[in-house]
This record gives sequence, structure tokens and C-alpha cells, in this order.
Amino acid sequence: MDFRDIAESKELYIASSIAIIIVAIIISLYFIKCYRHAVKCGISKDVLKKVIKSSVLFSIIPSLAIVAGLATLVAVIGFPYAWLRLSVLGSLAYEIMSSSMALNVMGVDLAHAGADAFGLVMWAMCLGITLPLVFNCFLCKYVHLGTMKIGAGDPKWSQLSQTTFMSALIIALIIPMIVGNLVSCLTFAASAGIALLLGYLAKKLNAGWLQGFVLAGSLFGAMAVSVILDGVLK
Amino acid sequence: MNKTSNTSNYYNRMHNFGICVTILATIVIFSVPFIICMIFDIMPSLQEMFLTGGPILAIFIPLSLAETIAETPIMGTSYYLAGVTGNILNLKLPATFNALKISNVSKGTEEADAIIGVAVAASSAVTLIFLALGVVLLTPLKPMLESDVVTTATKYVLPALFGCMSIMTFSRNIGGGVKIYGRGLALILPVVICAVLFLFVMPEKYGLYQGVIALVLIPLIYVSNKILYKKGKITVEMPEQH
Repeated sequence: MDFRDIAESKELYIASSIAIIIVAIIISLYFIKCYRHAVKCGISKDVLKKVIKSSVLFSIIPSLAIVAGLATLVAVIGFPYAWLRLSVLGSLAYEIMSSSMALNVMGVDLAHAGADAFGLVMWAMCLGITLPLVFNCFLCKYVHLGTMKIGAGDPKWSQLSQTTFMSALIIALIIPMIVGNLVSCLTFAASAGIALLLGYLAKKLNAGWLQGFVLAGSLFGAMAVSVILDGVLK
Repeated sequence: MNKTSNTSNYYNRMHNFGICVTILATIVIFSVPFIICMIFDIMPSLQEMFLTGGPILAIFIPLSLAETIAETPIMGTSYYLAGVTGNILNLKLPATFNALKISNVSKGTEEADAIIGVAVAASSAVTLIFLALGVVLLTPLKPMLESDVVTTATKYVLPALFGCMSIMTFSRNIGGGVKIYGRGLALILPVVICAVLFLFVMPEKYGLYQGVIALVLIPLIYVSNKILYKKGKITVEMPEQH
């Protein structure tokens, strides 16, 4: 048996499918628990429907990008494990990096890799990103509940201090998009511009439903702009 | 029972649920290579696992810890699900911001936490369904997925998402009818620091250390906000003041 035989084996299809079904159950349980609690807190079903519709709509395009990544990863580790890796803790860049490191350790390339190399590739992909997840799960509660106590005595300061974390994260993430290259910067600007326009229209036309399409609309519009700009500027 | 203890019960329940879910997912993820290696008798030695997993762990453990500290206060108890299903920056974080904006609830409340959970679960389900469809339809879809238009567009997914998200994050109305004025002042220094780091200090490694950079920015923005708030340069308007 060689690398490809195991990568496309029936056993791996079955194991990956079972793992993905368990993840689907976890997602469903989370959804039911949170939905019920939101209703219990007095959030109207209309608002929840709007949140769900908007989340589903905007998730389609990034999910297509992940499916495009699947096409790349399948060439390296076959269908079933690529499917599992991108469904759970997925990150194409990381998966490619860890599979290359595993093959390097064995001193083989993909074309000449044997069955044992596939075993090591699977473990390499698993270990690096799953173990940090285990550590994190014991940290989350303390971080979350700890930060909620900030500014407890002053409601205004409490609201302001809660924005600190989002601001820090967004600034750290957007700087390379803005100063990195022109197309990226203009795509960013187009997305912001479309969001402002849609927000303005929603307010002006008193069309609350439009708010649910702001993220999806900005994403789609800005990606269309990026394709045009990439062609024009390069 | 008063509202505070109800809230505390809710958070405790959800955190315990999240921990159980993460442990279950970890067992499932590890089971696949374990079972396959046992069936085909290809279990690598511990030395080989250490040689490949060690360097990856050395990079990912500190990064992952930094991201947890920066992202958990935003995503709340849904961070466990986001961690298990991945794609936090390009899917789960935008879903969180979007849900908060649409529902107009105050951050850091039980309501916000439940709504974020609904949004993160819905977004995770979409990816799961698309990947399943991708596996079935990949062969006929491959020419389309590898076309120039799709390749170029996917390269710019993040700026296309974050432009809109920045507007959501830095607008005056932060949700729940709360408005903040003058907040931009506290963000000038962090923006300059990040630009200098990206352009001059570590252009190649910036992407890798984004979580750590965000972690360093948190106390900086916190202190700046505090000073400017005390001096009256940043003002907060509560719903009852409108």
C-alpha cells in the first residue's frame, strides 16, 4: 500500500464522515441551546431570524473560498482527510505547512511517499493545532468572566472598556490590508464604502431588513471590485 | 433568585458545555489518525511525531494563547465552538460583529452571548454543508474554483470582509443604544505602532504574530481609553440620555 491508497481508503472515508457528523451534532446542540436562551432573554424570533439569515448569507462566499482551498489540499492528502481537516479547525496554510514538515522529516516527496508517511502527515496535522485548543478551553472561562468584571462600578466606562478587545484585534488585523498593497487597500475601502452606503440607505428608506444584507453585500461588492482592480492595476 | 445569579448560572453552564464539547471534539480529531494508523499498521514513532509536531506546537501554542485572550472577550462562550470549527478570522469573528450589529444588543450581556452563539453556529453549519458539497462536486467544480476570477477574489476575502467590519466596530453606535464619541483618539497610537511593525520592523513575520500584537494593544488601548474618558475627551451616551 502507498500514500494514495490510504489517503483515499474506504476506512478513512468512514472515520472522517463519523468525525464530521459528530461536529455537526455539536454545532446543532450549540445552536439549539443559544437559540432557546436568546428567546428566554426576550429576543424576538424576528430578530433571531434576521441574525440567522444574515450569518448564512455572508458565510457563503468565505465558505466557497474554503472549498477552493479543499481543491488544493485534496491534491496533497486526498479527499477524506482534507475534508475533515477543513471542517474541523480548518486552515489551509497550516495544513499544507504541517504536511510538508512531516514529509521533510521522512525525507520523501509526495510522489514517492509510502503508507507510513501518510500516518505521520495525519499526526503532524493533528498535533500542532489540536493541543493548543485543549489548553485554551481551560483558559476561556477565566478570560471571559474576568474581562466582564471590568468597569463594573461605572456603566459608561464598562461599555467603553468592552470595546477595547475588538478595537485591538481589528487594528492588529487590518493594518497589513491597508498598507500592504494597493488592491488590498482599495478592496478594504470599497467594502467600508459599500457598508456605509447600505447603512445609509437602510436608515433613509426606513428599510430595517437591509441591515441584514450589509455584511454580505459589502463582501460581495468589494470582492467584485478586487477582481476588476487586480486586472487593471497589475 | 436574582438576575445576577441567573446570569452567572448561564455563563457557568455554557462554559462547562463548551469545555465538554472541546474535549469531545479533541478526542474525535485524535481518533481518526489513531484508528487509521492502527488499521493499516502505520503508527509513526514518538520521535517522528515529536520531530514534526514539536516545531509546529512551539509556534502555535503561544499564538493560540494570545488569540484566545484577545478573542474570547468578544465571542464569549461561543469561542469553544469557534475553536472547534476553525476559520475564526474569516468567518466566526465577522459573524459575531454582524450579529451584534443587527440585533442591537449591548456587548457583554447574556443576550449578546446567546445571539453570538446562534450566529457562530449558523455560520459553522454553512461551511460544513459547503465542504460536504465540495467533496461531492469537486471534480465538476474544479475548473470554476481554479479560474482566475475565483482565485483573485479569494485572495482578497479578508480586506473585503474587514472593511465592513471596521465600520461596524468603530462606528459611534456600539449597540444597545449606547453611543461613544471621540473613541478614535485612543486608536491613533496603536495604528501607528502596527503600521511601523508591519512596514519596517517585521514585515515577513507580522501575520504570524498578529494575535500577540493584538494582545499587546489591549492594555495600550485600555489605558488610553481610561485616560481620555477621565479627561472627558471620550464621552459615552447611554440609551436613556437620547
